[in-house]
Amino acid sequence: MRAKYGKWTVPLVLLFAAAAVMAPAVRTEASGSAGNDDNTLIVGFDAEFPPYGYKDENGEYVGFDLSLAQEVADRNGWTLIKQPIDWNSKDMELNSGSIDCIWNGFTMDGRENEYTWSSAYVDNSQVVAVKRDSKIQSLDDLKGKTVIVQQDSSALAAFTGEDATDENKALAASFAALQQVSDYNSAFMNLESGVADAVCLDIGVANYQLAGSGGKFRLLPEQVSSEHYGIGFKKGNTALRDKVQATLNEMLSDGTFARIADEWGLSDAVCLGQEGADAVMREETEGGGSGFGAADFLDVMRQLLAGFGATLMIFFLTLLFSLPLGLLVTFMRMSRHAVPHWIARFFISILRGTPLMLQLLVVFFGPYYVFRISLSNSWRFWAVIIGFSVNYAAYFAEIFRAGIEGVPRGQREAAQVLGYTKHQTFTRIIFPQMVRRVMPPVTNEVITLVKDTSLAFALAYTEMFTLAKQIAATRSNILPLFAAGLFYYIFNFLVEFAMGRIEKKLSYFE
Amino acid sequence: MPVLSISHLKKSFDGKEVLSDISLAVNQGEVVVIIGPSGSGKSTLLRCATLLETMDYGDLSYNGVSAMDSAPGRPCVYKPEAELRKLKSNFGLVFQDFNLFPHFTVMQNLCDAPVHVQKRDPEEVKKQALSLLAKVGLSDRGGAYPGQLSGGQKQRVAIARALCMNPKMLFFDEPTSALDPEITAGILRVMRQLAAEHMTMVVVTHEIDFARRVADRVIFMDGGVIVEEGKPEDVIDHPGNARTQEFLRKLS
Repeated sequence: MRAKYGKWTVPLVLLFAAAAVMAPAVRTEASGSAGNDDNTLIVGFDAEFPPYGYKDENGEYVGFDLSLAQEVADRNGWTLIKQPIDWNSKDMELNSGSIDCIWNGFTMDGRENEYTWSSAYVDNSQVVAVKRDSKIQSLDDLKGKTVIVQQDSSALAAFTGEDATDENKALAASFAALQQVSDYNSAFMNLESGVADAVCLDIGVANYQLAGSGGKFRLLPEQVSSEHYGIGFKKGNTALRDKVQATLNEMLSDGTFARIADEWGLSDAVCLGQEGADAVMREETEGGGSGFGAADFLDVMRQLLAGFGATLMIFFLTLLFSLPLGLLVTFMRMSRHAVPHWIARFFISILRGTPLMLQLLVVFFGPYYVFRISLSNSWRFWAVIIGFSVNYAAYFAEIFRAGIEGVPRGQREAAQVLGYTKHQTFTRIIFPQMVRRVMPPVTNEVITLVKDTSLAFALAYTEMFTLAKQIAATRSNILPLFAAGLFYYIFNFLVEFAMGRIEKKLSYFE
Repeated sequence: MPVLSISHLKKSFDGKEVLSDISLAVNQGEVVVIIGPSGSGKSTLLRCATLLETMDYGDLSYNGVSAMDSAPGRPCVYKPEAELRKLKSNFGLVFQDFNLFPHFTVMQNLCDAPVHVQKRDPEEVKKQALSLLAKVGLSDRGGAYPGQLSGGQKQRVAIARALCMNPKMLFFDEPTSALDPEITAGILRVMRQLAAEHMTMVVVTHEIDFARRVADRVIFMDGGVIVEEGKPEDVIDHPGNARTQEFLRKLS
């Protein structure tokens, strides 16, 4: 029942990673009524967080937390709806009522006042996984290394959160990089391929991943921190919390809870009913929701501006490489020779026919999984640039071809009679007219590119949108996302203006 | 030696023969006008002569230099591209729809090919271009773009562009068909002037009056063959062939 790493699973993992990120966009909108008035319990979970909640080999959502939720729902006569969510959007999901609770190895520590909590039921600790043959033996050895954590995870909070210990903060500062990825499959692919040196994660998840990895990884003996898991409800929704908690207590006393924990190999980790487990639940303080003042807004804008540099870099480098590459592909596509012609057609067909996100993943992980080349962290950036450039070149190629074919035949014939060579005909007569013709569709692509740069998050490259999602998650507020939207709009407004000027300049002869 | 010599030209499109066994020689200073109904093959003949279209059979030569590597009677094999480019310096072509380069000014349209194809001195070319513009009555439009000109002005620029290459002969493919009748006169006047200066010309046109007054020889084509040819007073005023008679009757 457990996913294993192997050569044959790589394409599936890549596909699945792409699908999972897109999943929230296509799900059906759940009922807006929080608190299961309609006899449903909608549980939000990260579908890539085994053993707590994930998709098994049969395509079913399973896990320790989902088994518990199923039992709770059954005992109350509710229908359980398992709703996979994008972890960065969990607060929006919960606050909008599209889910009733977050039940997914959800760390309480540091979030005590942000949710209405159940009693803690798992005592979890943060541990560090490294490759079996790694030289890293202790936390001190992590100095100068690249360490991976999941976005908005307990591990990240343990290093950089407000409640992080000074010890951990100093440790994090000694890393070469603290890299955030969106899911653990990706984290371990990073680790295996050498892009990263260590992964810091929850012990339950770590044990699960290590069991399925065939001995490729091991854990460091020291722990980074210890923490507790609870079920998070919307702040103030004590009615639902109390019902769920009562049922859990019932399951604890009749042994069902222990049986389910055993099924998932978590007997050592559960702490429901132990002394102090319900401390947070009993001491819940009122208020505590995150306000958002003008100062915060400026702070967010300042942080986004830092990420905007990365966005600009992707944008300009992609244009720099994809425009000439697109012209080259056009020449091949329009060649009279069969070999370049069909290579270009195949290239265009594949790049236009598959998701850009998948192409980015293939470019990034391909060198390791195909050629066994160990990857460096800086490869992340170049993979983004290569992926974008190649993809946009395919689109530009077709635009250029339309532009060239749109120049009237008489232009070519006039040049031919005047004795221009083929090369002169293209550079002196066809190309200048083609450039003018392709400006409107090229402008379209350029504007799309501005927005597409946000897809760099698939490779955990921290451009502006990735940053906005991270800030939104830490602050439990969606305003950073809107702020990012504002950046994109302003940038595109300028792009539109600039392209308009260029177009006008190029139409000097009309 | 004729400037242009075409012998036994055959041309088919998709198995349908559009030109069957055409032979034509044009001498220095001669003005030849080709008339005939649409679909008669006269435009295809012009395109073959100007190397825009390939011939299937036959020979094509300018001043005794052939465009072909193939033996007579064998399917045509053209000489390499570079050789053909040299041959092209013998003639100019004026299109029905002008085909000026829209991104070049009038002066650039005239000077670009002489400078970049013929590698002539830009200053000398510029002087020639200015005098040619004066000749076609457009001295003041050298800096304009084609998009800013009327149809008649465009065609006059196109003629000047062809002349700027110093060709030994000029082809005209229905040069007035895209123009209003009152503008046509101006273009014909320029062409008459060229004829008076003994420019060798082959003109495809429907302007019978022009043919009568300017042509040394009129050729009537129909169904891919030369039906009748001779002096204008013979072919136009006293056609011997029934098809010629019918064509001229419909035109008047």
